[in-house]
Amino acid sequence: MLGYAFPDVPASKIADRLNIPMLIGFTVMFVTGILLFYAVPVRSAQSVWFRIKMILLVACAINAYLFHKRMNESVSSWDNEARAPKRIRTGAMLSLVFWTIVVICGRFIAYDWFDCDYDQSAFIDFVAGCIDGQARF
Amino acid sequence: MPPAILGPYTRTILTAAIIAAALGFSFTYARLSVYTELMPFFEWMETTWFGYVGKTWGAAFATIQAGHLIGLAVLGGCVIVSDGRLLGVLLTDVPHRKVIDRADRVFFWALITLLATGVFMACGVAMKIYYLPVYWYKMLALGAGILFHYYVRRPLVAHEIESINPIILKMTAIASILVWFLVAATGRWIGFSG
Repeated sequence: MLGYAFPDVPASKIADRLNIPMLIGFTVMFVTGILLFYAVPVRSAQSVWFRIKMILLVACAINAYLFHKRMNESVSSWDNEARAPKRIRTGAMLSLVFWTIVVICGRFIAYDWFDCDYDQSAFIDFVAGCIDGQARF
Repeated sequence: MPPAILGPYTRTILTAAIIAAALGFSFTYARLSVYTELMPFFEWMETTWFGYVGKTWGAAFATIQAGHLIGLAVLGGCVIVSDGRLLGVLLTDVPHRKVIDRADRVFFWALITLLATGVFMACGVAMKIYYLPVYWYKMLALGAGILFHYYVRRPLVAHEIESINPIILKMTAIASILVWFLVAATGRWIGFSG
């Protein structure tokens, strides 16, 4: 979509052929993610990084929906062009940025920088949903 | 051994022999002398600028670690797309050559990212990983993966794909997926060890 990988293959073909592997990958991620959350639910739910990750996953879903809708509506006019129209490219770029931050946040969940049992600023306490005098979970 | 005896598979057989020798070396007592001699090198790694930054700023270490993961994700994507095409399960209506060549270019940069961030991370926790058997398993898997990719898979797929025995092609693709999966799995395992 950005014109960097497979610029000479129709964009719709790439999107169509990679849909199923992408869904398989997402399903694996979703199931293993729920299992990981189930292991440490309270600490995860109160992690700032986990919360950002969840918001970004929702943003990814909305972006993917809009992206596919716009692509299907207009693909016949630019399918064989090396670069897609600007709004499609913006959607593709947003998708890359969102998923990159999802990976970063996923990694940062393991760190305890903003855990509730440490002395945090009122803002972090609010964002993480910390409770006064909370012990480590 | 003269290359002619090995026929067209010289490079493959030599690579397999090097990997087998490395495995044999690693899983026998022969490794102990080299292992002890490597300790000063790992101690030195911790004293480098990378080691200092990695140990002093947790956030810097974590950020580089996230970069390492992104590199791994991109590399994994290249392996899946390229080997999926060889297996005939992905992008089957896009020519082999196009998929393999494009994926290989991205693979190279993903590997460079992995190695660069990996060296930084290793410097930050050099003495910890020195004592972790799984770190050495990862290095073995990584070495095998790089050798396999550049000395077996790449020369093989440089030929006309249609002229290669489909079974060899599929076995190569499966081996490639497995070896890179092993690299990722042992890398994750390091995080749970020590």
